[in-house]
Amino acid sequence: MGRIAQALKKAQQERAEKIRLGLGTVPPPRSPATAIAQETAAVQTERRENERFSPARRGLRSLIPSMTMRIGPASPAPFPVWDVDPSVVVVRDRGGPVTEQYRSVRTWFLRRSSTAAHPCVAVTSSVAGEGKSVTVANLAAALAEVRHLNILAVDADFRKGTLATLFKIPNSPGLADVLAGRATLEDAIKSTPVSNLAILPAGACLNLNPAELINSTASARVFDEIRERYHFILVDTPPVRQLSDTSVIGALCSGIVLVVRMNSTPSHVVRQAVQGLQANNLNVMGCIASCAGSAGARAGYSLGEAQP
Amino acid sequence: MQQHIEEFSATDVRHTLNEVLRIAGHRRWRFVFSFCLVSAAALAGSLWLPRQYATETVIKREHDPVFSTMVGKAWTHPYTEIKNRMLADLQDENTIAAVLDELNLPEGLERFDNGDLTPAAESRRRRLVHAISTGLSVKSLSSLKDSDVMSISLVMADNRHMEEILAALRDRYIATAKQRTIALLRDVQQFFRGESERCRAELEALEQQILEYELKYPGINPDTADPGRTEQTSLVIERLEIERKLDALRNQRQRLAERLAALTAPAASEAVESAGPLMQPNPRYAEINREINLLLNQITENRTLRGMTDLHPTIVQLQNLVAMRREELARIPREVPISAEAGAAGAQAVAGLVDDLQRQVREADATITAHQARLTAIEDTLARLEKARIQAVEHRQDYVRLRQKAAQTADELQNWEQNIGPIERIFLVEDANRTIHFATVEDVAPVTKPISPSALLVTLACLGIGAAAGVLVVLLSELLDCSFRTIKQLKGTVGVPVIEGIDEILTAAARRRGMLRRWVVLPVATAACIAAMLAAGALAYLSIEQPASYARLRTWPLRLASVGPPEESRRIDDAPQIVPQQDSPLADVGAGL
Repeated sequence: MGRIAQALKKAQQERAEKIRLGLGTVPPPRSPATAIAQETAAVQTERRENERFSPARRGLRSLIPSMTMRIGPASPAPFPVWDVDPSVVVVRDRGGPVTEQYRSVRTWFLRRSSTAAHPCVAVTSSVAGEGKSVTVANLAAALAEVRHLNILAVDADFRKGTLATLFKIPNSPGLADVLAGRATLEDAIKSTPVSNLAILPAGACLNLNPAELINSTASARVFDEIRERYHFILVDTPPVRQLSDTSVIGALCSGIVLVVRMNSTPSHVVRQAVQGLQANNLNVMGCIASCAGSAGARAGYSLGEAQP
Repeated sequence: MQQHIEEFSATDVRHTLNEVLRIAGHRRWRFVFSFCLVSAAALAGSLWLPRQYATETVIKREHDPVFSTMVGKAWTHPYTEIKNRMLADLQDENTIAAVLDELNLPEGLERFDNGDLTPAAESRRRRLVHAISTGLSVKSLSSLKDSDVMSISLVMADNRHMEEILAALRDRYIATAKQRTIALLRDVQQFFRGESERCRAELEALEQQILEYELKYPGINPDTADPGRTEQTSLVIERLEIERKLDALRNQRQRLAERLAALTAPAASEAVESAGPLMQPNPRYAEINREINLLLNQITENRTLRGMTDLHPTIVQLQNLVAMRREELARIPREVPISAEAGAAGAQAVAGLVDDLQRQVREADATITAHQARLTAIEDTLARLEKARIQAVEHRQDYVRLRQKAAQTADELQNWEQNIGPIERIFLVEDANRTIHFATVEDVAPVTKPISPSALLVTLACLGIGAAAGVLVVLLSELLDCSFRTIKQLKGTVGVPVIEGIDEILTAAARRRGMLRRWVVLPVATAACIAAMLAAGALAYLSIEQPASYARLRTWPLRLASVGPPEESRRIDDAPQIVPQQDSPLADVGAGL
């Protein structure tokens, strides 16, 4: 362990201390091109580090989160011990294959967003239960691994928002409260122990109609504001087929990503969802296939398997 | 073929195999459950399959050697007749009805006061008779010319009373067969008599025709001498003789006429006087001339009658003699001079000679006329005989055919007449029981289990149905499942890029649920399905292979619930082994029990 590692460790401890004391300030945003260059360097460093460890040792590390401190001069800052939902594998199992897949998605996003300023991507699905919130949580955590990016995960599903639950933070105040004027954006955005990652939970609509909240002018103002503050915003939205909120939210975002659960969602439903989004002149950037590797490897488990 | 191979590349084959393996792996539990449940249902359903029970008895039938040699050599007609009619005798519905009457089956038949069966009972009886008739079959286990081992089988849907029915049918058949032998012999005897009469009449008619032929065409019988032929031969000889005589007579008459002309002509007298002494015929010359004629006649006779050729030694010898005589004849003079003393008397002698010559000429003319008349008669007779001979030859084939037919008919008549007598003796032998022997080799076996359906076949069929249902369920679920299976499929369908495929996130709780499902729920459910299938299979097997055990098993709940004395429960143990089929003629009888 060299001096660089000691410096990084010290910086990490200072950052955690600031967060604990509530003194965390949002660093000024930088251009995504710079962030991509830094992220690429981080990925290469991480790959070199992974090659140093044997698979058995990596598995052991994944079982003991407290031992996942990265050692090495260029390793990204390790996450502290943090009780999140087990489905947020990027935090809980940093060396796992699923985490690598989310990192691939991260890379894809960063390359696609290299020219866009402060991209805001809405993550939706055709029907409920396809893994939107889990995808947003893991993708946000993966993006947050890029040290110079500030990531915000927004839960725009006012009815069944689960993003706060995944990160085990209070759901209120949140976006609904901000849009209703009951709270400020600073109050609603929750910092997380993951560096560069903040959460804007859904909040409580109380007696307000979620659709009205989304369609209000305040929403556009809020999204403009968070775009100015964060490098990358991921928005968890309701399903396309059930609610029209996604179209409104998608118009506020720079693109939409559709999560499709393999071996579950009917193909015509997915096609209709994509066609519906494209009919509203929304930019459907692509889709993420969830549970893609389960059919062959764990076919028996897939029968009636619960949602992750 | 080449085109066929090109159409299905290795990639396609690999893809298809991968798809098959993927479906098999993904839907295996659906297959297992469908297979087990449907197989169990099919096995349980096989309990309602109609059963077929069979029993058989083996009898030996032997032709008595004394009986078989009574009529002729190996007379097996009655035996063959009985052998051929065995199944018909057994399946005769009247016989079966009589046996059922004897056994008082079906049980519980309703009757009128006068003892007649009610229409419903009659219908039941007819159905049972029909079932028995169609279920009876005969199989030859060993077949020789005069002995057989036969197996009589009875197949029915109801196994009750099968043994008694089959035994009674067998005994009745044996009695019927013996009666049939006697009846058959009587028929044969009558037949023989009729055939004898027919042959006799036919023979008489043939003999009459033969006689008519012989009378109409003498000499038509090639086996007897032809009387016309003898007459013809004698007539030919006579004709030759007459012709020879005629030649001789004509020569003699010519000479006589010449001599007479010479004696009576004046120029001739003068010439005679001027010429010198009177000449008289040389006796030696005439004698040699006669000998030559005789030899020529012999030669002609030998040629014509005896068929000798010119090279035959006899002919050669005769011709040599003729040549010698002709040489001698050429050396001697035909006339010799009369002596001078006799000249005076010559005139008188000449006159006498003329008279004599004239008389001889007349006699020769008369003889020639008679011979010519006879010759004409002979020619006519010969022509008639030749015509009759030709006609006989023309009809000889018909005659011979008639003779042959008559001979055959005579033989046939003799055969029939020879067989009539022994049949009378056979009737005597019948009384001594020397006819066809029947022996029961194997008695009627008790019916313990059905022969149909086969337990193996039922098991295989039910498992096959289960497997087919499993495959069908898998295929249907695969066809009806329109979700995305692969990322490639998703890419091709949605029309937007697929960023990444994320594996299923297995949290600890999900893993626990998966483990619970994989190692507890599914195995238990599978074990339950397999247990259900095995139980259904065991029941199906027992119902086919061990009906008594199956019946006990079925009555087991009753026995558990029964509170009666032990005798009662024991009686339940010995309850009917087989549940009668609904369409069985004895079904209502079983209900009565």
